[in-house]
Amino acid sequence: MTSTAAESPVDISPVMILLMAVACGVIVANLYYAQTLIDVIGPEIGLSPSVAGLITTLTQLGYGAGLFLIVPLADLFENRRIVLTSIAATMFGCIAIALSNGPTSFLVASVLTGVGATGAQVLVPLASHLAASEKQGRVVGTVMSGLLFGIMLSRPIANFLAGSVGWRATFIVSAVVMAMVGVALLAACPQRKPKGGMRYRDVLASTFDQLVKHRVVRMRAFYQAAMFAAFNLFWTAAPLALIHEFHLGHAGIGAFALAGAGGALAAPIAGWMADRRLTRPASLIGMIGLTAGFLLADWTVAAGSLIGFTIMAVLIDGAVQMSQITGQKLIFSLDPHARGRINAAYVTVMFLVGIGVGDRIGHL
Amino acid sequence: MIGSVTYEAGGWTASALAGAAIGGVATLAFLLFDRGASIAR
Repeated sequence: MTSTAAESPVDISPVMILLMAVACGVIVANLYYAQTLIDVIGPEIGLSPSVAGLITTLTQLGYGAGLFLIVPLADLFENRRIVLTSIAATMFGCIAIALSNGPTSFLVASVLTGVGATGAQVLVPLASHLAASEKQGRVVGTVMSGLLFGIMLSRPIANFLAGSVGWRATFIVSAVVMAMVGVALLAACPQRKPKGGMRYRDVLASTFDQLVKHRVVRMRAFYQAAMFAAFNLFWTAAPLALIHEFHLGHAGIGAFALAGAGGALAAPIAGWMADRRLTRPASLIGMIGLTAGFLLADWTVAAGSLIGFTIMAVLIDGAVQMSQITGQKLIFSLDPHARGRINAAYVTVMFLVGIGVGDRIGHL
Repeated sequence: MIGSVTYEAGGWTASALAGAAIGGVATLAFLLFDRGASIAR
């Protein structure tokens, strides 16, 4: 399909929604492969343990910079082209990591991978542009659930592939998958040409302005920054509890993370509620669900219930998704011509605050 | 970071209470200051 969605939505097909969800997941998963495998990679490329932590920091800095510098381009240039360019950047980053023989080339490639991964955040507003207004919430929810699955499954996938074919081949496999996703999007994803007509520096300045101009963007960014920080806190501390309280090993922790990914299934439900204007109750369910999830998780750990702890992991992930999708539905309905900049402002604040407070599942 | 810090300081209970506190702050902010921002138009 080569149809063009200028500013009017086309009826996005379920297959296209699924493709976008998968694309978001496989793109974002690249942020976490290297930090998962650092114990194996570090000695081979001469990366000292004290510098190894830089991998996470630089990849995340690259992602944070991309959120602010690249995502707003969705209001300036044809969207599919931005996504395909970012996929190409991530692909080259993966290949460069696989071919690295020293710390410098490895770290530079990690930054490139991080910057390229922001293409996922161009896909999300593109999906909302392509959907009819009464379906936007569900479409965004489904695409975002793919993104969360990608985050949660990245660790077990990296461990499995590295154990089977080695860490270098893991990144080659990822590059091949990225290429396949890129070809599929090129063939099936409609183009979207924004009105444009702005200079890049004006677009960046206008991204800040979205926070000043729209109270709902400020409020939702604050809520989601808190939710994301709590999410990071959970996935940093929970593996420690699993090791010390439940005596699980890496395989058990991986299985726990896989079960926790089930919380992503709350995203389409949140989208369905948002499409029915139930944004306020959906927000409250998400926030109260997160708070209750933590309190009950303390009780389940004290009671020695691994099943109960796993259910709380699903509840916490689902609560974060509920708030995220509701927030994006609200901010995407503000100004279609500024959707890229609005999303950039929202996710940049959320990501920087959330990452500033806690680590994600990298400590699994 | 805060996940590791709270766990080292007070075990899982400290981490869980920190997470619940963050959720509580977000909920309070929503109830007190949202003032209709999150109502779908």
